[in-house]
Amino acid sequence: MANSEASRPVLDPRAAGARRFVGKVVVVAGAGQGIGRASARRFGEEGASVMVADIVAASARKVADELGAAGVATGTFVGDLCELKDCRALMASTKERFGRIDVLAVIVGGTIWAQPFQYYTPEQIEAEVRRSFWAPMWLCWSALPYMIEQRSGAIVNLATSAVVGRYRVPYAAAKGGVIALSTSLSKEVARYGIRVNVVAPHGTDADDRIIPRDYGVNIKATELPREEAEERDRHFGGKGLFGVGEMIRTEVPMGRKAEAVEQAAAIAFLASDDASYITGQVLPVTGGATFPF
Amino acid sequence: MANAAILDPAAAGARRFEGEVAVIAGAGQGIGRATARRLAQEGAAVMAADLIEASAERVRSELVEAGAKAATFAGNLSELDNCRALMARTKDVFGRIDVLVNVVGGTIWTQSFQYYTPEQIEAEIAKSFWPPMFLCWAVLPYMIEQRAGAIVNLATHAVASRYRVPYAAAKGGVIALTTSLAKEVAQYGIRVNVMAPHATQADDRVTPRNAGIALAASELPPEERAERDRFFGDGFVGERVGEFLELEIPMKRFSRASEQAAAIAFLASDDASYITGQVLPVGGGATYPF
Repeated sequence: MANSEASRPVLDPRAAGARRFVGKVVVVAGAGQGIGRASARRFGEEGASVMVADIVAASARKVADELGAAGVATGTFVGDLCELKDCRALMASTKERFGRIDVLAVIVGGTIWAQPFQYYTPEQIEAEVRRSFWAPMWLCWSALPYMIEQRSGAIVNLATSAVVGRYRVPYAAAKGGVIALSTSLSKEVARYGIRVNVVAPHGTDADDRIIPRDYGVNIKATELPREEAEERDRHFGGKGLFGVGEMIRTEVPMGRKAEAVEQAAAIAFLASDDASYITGQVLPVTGGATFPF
Repeated sequence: MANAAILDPAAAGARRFEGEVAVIAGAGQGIGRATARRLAQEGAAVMAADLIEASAERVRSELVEAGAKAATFAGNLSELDNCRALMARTKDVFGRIDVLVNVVGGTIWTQSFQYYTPEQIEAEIAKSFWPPMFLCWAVLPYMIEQRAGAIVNLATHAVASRYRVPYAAAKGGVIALTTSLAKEVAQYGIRVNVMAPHATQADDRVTPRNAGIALAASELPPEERAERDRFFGDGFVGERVGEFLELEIPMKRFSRASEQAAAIAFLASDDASYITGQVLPVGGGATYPF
């Protein structure tokens, strides 16, 4: 390691000195906080140039600044990645800024509400699917021309243990679709040297969350009958969506939530050449919870 | 460490196993040897265990030459006594056991199930089912006492393929051993996972698949034999590529042993600290049924 690097801030000590992404360009969609931010830091730690994309300008800026202070080349993109035109603009902007796109990590998504399916309104359901299904669909579609032209690339999408959880059926269904998008697409693009995989997290701490789950969504949660609300809160463990409640105790053998850096480590593995023979797979990062796909 | 880069450049400078002790069961060649090199590259002290003493010694001397700590154990790991002796020796030499990688196993023959003799079937199970079972059992007391540890077992894409049913069944058992054990030992900080390779080149193979087994392959009728050979190509993973590559693997190539080792290293490392009881298929895009 060069002396000039000796004093740079460490973005992610878990990398243990690895520099698997030197010379690579990584787009992190949904990089502003939580798993996305942790992934951006891990990629930056390992030598990547990182395009930090988020719906919130201040969040993208904050992460880009962190990475920049550690000597990482960054760009930022602010837009609504549920919209195809923004996804295309993100890829064009990355190409323009860095000349290529080696890795696309699609973190954007996440359930907006937690309530039994029958209490979702049609508008809420559409909002969930828009956020968690369409973003990966449009992002993959937009990145493909660049990766096919390069004859190389790695895409990592996110699924969720919610596919066998409760209280977020529309989100679960969207992520089931994302899994099939990944497994099916991987078979088509293997011939171009492009890999597509999925990380499936369970409940993950996002201590750095500043943007609420319903950001930009002009719809309220449904008023639940008291006993329904109480049952849900027992499941999730309190007021927030993800405390430590029955869900962690009954579903997760490790008995704790993940740290965002643990999800980022798995995402970085699948995006790296360490996974050069792995495509079309779902890697559950669930503290031991059984994943059904 | 100065010349450790020669063991496995894929590590890209990582030292995730600094200060850790790894037992590689079946370290003499192929995926086992590649795993020993990768873990040592990243700082592990390695106990290279193999049925063949010369193979274990070859790996030990490679690692030591590159500046890593390594020792050998020679023995038949289908036998519980040897598995216990391996763990005792590792504790004795290195003081602890952080990682156990069970690479030992692999199909002995390729033929349709009805041509297997009962003796052949028992030999396949002895080679591919019992070592992970006994190795996991033998290492647990050490890892439970430490309240830490990571085990990686190997499965195979053969569970969804042809011509090696007993081996496939053995590895199906290894998967269940892993997923079930993972839930029991999570409370002790021990993780247990499976890496499921597809066809992998082992250019360094010196020990034949039937080493130590005094049984011949079955004589197959000519048309059976021809069909199997079309499927596998020339030899099991041969020069001439068989139909199975086209049929089963979207990437349409064999893997290198170092690609399997990279996945094993990931699961064994703290990068996988929230991953247990999972099967990671490293199959060039082949669909994995578990």
